[in-house]
Amino acid sequence: MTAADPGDFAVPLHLTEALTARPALVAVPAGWDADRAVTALYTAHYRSLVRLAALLVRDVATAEEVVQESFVAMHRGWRRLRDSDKALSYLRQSVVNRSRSVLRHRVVVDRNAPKPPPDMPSAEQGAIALLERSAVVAALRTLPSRQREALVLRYYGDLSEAQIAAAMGISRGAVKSHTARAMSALRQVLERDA
Amino acid sequence: MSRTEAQYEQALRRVLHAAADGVEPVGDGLERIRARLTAPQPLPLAWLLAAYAACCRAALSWLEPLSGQVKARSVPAASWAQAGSSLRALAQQRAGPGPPGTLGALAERFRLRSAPPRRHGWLRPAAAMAVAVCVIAAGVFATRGLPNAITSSGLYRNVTRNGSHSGTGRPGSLNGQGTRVPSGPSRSGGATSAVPGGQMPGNITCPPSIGNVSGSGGAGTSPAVSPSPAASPSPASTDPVSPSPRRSPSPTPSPTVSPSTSPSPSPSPSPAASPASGSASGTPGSSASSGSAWPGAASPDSGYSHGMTSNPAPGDASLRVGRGDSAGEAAVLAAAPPARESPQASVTPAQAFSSPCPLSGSAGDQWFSPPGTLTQGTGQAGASQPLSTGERAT
Repeated sequence: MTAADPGDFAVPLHLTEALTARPALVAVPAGWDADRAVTALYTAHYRSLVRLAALLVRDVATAEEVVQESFVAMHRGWRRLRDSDKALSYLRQSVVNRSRSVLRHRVVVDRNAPKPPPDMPSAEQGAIALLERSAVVAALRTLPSRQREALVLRYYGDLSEAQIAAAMGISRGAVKSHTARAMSALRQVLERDA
Repeated sequence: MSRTEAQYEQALRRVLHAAADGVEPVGDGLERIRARLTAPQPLPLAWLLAAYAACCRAALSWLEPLSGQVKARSVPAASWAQAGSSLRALAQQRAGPGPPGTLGALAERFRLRSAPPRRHGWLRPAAAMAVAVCVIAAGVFATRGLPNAITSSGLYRNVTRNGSHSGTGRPGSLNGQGTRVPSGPSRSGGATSAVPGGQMPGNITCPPSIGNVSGSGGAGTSPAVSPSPAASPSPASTDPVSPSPRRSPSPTPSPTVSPSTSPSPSPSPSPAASPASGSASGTPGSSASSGSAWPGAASPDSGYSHGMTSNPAPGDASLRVGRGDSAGEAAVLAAAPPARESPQASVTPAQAFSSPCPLSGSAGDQWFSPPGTLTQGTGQAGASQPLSTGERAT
């Protein structure tokens, strides 16, 4: 893999506007090879994707693993990617799917192997605590996974319903349903806590 | 969308962004991605791929000459086409205009069809060869276990026993330990009633009774006991007779009863049978005439108490005779030719082999067991039961 040219992506990256679909960030020239495309997409979207995954899996290290695996998968399947413009959509969907897999695996692990309380909190646990410090995020944890994904993609990724449907692999109607139910449940939880 | 909902959405958006801003990934993500891309594959997967590639290469190298042969054989098709065309012409001449007859149909059958050359035409013979190889491999694997199955079923041993019964007898059958007992030169005293003490040749099969050889005077007196023609009547003369190392000097009680094949089931009191007759074996109550004596089943050191107890008819004299006390004599007699060689055999070989173990019902299973298994436990005599049956015929 070669390093990306500095002039390839001159778009400034804002930490909180990660997944906003802007053509300059999303479109990848057709003639690029896998290395160059991965480098460009990494420079533009890695951080936002890691944050998205962190909101889903509630673990920064795991989120990084998930995003890196998604990049690796995209690099290996770059030739099979028909439309290089949809590379970011592919990455997003891959991150969501792998986050689901991580959560599914974590359920099994938590069920079979209880964790002993650590002696000293690590930096990673500090990040998790930071995530869970907010009451809204804590309430978000109580939602079902599909509803949580819909809310995160909708209000953190600022994606449209079609993009959310593509990322989650469901229909737009299902996206609407999940979003509405999630908002209702979240409101109930927040009003109850308040 | 109401104003409250919009406020909720804005609040949710702010909260999510604020929460996610605290997450800062490590900066070496790209290096880790590169490392994952350049990392070698797992070893099992690499081995699997290598093996797959090697197999494909070998198969291709093996199929290439085969495809050449197939192509070479396809050349005579031109001659078939010529024959078909001539047949077709002949049919047209005979039938004239009209629908083609049988000859025409035959000619049409052999007409060369100008099929386009197949791109993967070699796949059919390759698939056929692969199927053939699979069938052959399956056959080899199936036939590999056949000898074991035959051996375990006992058929093999039965056959070999029939073949090697004469002379020294079946290996390992005489004493149950795999040691061959030299065949006795004379089996003239084949009649069980003629044997002093009513000792059956079936005593050969009784390991515990073998140890009584030295003690039973009757054993030495029997001409069939000693392998040499000049058999001494002394009990000590029986010692060289039986080569079995398994002889135990223990005074194993051994009942001496004439077999059921004997015309007189009640055995004559022999010196070996009755303790009063000078039997050195010291078998108390081992006289078969007593009837009540069942020392083989009573004494734990008899070595075949299990077989005795499993006898279907304890009162049967033949069963007890099979556990004869003079084991030395029995061993010598066991080495004698089989019963079927004796013209006086009252039991035919077919009968003898149909019931390989008349002494014990459980010993019948042990008959086909290997000697190693027979020596274990109490069923040692089971290995020589059929021979005793044959001896009983004499």
